[in-house]
Amino acid sequence: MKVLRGTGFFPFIIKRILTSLLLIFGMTFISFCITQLVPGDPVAANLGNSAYSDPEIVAAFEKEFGLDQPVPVQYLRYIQNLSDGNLGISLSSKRPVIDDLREYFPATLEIALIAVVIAMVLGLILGTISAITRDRLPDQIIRVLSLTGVSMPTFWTALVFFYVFFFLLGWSPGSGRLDPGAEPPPQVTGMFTIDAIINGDFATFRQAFSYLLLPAIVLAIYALGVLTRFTRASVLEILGNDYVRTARAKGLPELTVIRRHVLRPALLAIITVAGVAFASLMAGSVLIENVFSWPGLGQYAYRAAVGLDLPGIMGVSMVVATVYITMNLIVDILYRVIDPQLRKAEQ
Amino acid sequence: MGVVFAIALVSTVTVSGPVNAAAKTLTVETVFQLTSTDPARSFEGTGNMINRALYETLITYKGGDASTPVPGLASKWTVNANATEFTFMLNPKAKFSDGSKVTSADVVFSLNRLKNVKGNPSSLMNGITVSAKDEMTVVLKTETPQPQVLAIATSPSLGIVNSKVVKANGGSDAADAKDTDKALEFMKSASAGSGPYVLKSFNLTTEVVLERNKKYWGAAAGYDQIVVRNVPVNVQRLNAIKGSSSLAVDLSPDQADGLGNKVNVIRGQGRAIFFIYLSQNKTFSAATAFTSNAKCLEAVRYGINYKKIVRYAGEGAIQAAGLIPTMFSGSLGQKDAIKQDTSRAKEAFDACGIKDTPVKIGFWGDGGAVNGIFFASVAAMIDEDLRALGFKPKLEGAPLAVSLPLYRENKEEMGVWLWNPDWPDSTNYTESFSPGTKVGLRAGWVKGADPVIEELQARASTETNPKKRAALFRDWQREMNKRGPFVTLLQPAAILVSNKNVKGAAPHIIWTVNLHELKPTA
Repeated sequence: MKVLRGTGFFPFIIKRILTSLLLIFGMTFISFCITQLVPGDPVAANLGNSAYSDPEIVAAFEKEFGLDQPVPVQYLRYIQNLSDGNLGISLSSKRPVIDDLREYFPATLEIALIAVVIAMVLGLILGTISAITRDRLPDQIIRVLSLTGVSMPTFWTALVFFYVFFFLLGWSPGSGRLDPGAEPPPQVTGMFTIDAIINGDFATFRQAFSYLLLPAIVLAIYALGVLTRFTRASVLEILGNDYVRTARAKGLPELTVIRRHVLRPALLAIITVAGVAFASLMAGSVLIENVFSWPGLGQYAYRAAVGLDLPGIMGVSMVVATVYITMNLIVDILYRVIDPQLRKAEQ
Repeated sequence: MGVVFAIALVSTVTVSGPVNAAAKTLTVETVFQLTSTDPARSFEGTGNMINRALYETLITYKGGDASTPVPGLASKWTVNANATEFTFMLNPKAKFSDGSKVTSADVVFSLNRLKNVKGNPSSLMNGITVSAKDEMTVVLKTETPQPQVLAIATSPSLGIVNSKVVKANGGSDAADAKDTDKALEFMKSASAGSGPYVLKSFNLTTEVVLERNKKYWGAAAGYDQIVVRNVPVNVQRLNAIKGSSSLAVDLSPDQADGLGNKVNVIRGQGRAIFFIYLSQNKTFSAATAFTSNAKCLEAVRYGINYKKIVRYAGEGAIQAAGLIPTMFSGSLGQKDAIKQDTSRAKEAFDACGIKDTPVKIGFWGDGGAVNGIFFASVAAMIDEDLRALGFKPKLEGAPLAVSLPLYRENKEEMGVWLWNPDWPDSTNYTESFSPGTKVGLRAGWVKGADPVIEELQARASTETNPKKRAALFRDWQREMNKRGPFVTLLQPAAILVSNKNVKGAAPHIIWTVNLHELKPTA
């Protein structure tokens, strides 16, 4: 309790973690209520014509998935199971949701990580170039490109990129995570590229990476547009500060001024956007995963939604909420690491 | 940005070979309709295709045929005069993939397990009991005459499993198997059948890999490995044009056009029948007081522009002359198909009295499509035709999970739906669409609503003479076309697109394509 009343770095982290747990708990309640409000019938969505007309089969299905219980009991059971790490049984895959998530989440995490790296690196470079060449040709080109990236609907970009880079040019191997029938590496993280490296199987790593790149690029485009524009705005704001003029007046090389006096303070704002962008990439991969037959969380979520697979929907909601909350927590911690003023204020 | 992406892509492309690099690997692309490869629980399109290759049934069909059973695990079979007892003699050569002999005990276990796990296909065994006469003879009995048992016996859900292996992995055929059978996970990791292929790996969203059964007792499988991949339809088309897939099974007639010379396009008749129904539940809503009216039904039946709908469905689609598809006994010819007659329809509309009462039309609306035919598009065409007559239709498409319960629970005023057969026999239609049966009830058409049709249904269900049976099915449909609440629209085309180096592909109404019949050309 004493720790919680403190104002230092660790009390801050502990308070944030506790708040996050409460948020996740609240989210389970909201998700459960919303899924119950959907005007559909999971039994009808999952049983065939004849089976649905057979009361014995319907009863067996309802019993198997706990649908024969009143809704409050279903929620209490869910929470009870949740405390044991049990997210229930998926109506569509007929196996524990936790096992499904263990399989599908890493696939999405893998493209989202690559996408966020692409978006951050390029966004930082392009945004900075754009700012320091303000209103000149490079700036105008980058602004047009970043606006295009933000404006293009992701599903359209996915289809066009797939058509051009796979079908017309043959630069991408196509849909899926590996060649048909290829053995995935033994699961450690579930991310094929990393698991292949851990296993020392570089042929599988290269194959997995070749499949991964195109969907990751498509996923990165929107975030890249946002980050480029945001970096440009942040850098422009800082470039106008007196201390930047002083640094230049002292004769420091331009690159040093940009690196030390402009980018470092700009990073604070950029990290905030990157954190949120990463979380939204995780949540927004549904359409891309469908176009590229990428067996990730998006495809799982879609399948769960159309089949009214309530445990599956809840599982996905939990993961997405946890990612958002964790990213916000990381961003807050990074703020304190990067910004000495914040640390000082806390001390 | 584009240059950077291009460099990144080119730097990786050299590492990935062609999609179908292995010499004897067949790649089948489809949009997965799959829950498992457990025959007792799987009842979906992709599951049937895969299970047909893993598990053999007592009898089966050859090529695209679905009317003349041929030997499967049973080399011979007999049916008693009133079609209540079906005796199957197992082929003594038949053995499972572990080399053990297929016996009547395996058949009894498999069929009782199917019945008792209470899964999606369990209702196929309703009214059927199975027993072993001796080690190599099995008897299926029904209380009432049911000639359709032979057709039901071909369903991949009635695939025979190795009882010892399945029991050892938690399987049960006991009456309480719905609670005690725990073999599902095992059945997704391995197969225990006698089919030409065995299961190598199973993934619900990416691919299912089959390997040649090295101990197969029949004609050897054509491929060392078959990879069935979950691929969106637009990508199936691109892969077909590139020649990088072996077989695409979900293309619509329009998508199958202009694929170039690297592929064979095999066209057959699809299994679905699209239809409209009008609720006969007079008290459900203001509109159903009229939709249950014979004149209203007549107006809809003769007001639809069937030709336009068939044109939309593409090459190979035909107008459904009745509820029974063309490949089944007693299907109607095109001369029996209803022709649009707008003056008769307008006259009937004026007489039916619905006038300005809006009528809601339910359908699968979130992009729901079968064989490339979108329900929303069909509903829009119907909307246009009905408006021309004076109706005030209101289209109410919704995601399947929402619209399907409304349809199944008789909570729609009108609906646009389809029917896929549970088993390949005309009785599946007479026993589903007559008054008091499941689809009949969805339309609020209760038992006793039409004694003539019900009488024809009863006679068709028990008639064992094939010619008389076919005649009864035709009569039943003609009466349905006069008074039934269902207006049949179309039967789509079924299309397989295979690489030139694959032969033997034939569309099938139950298992889409028989993977065992696919062979390399060279």
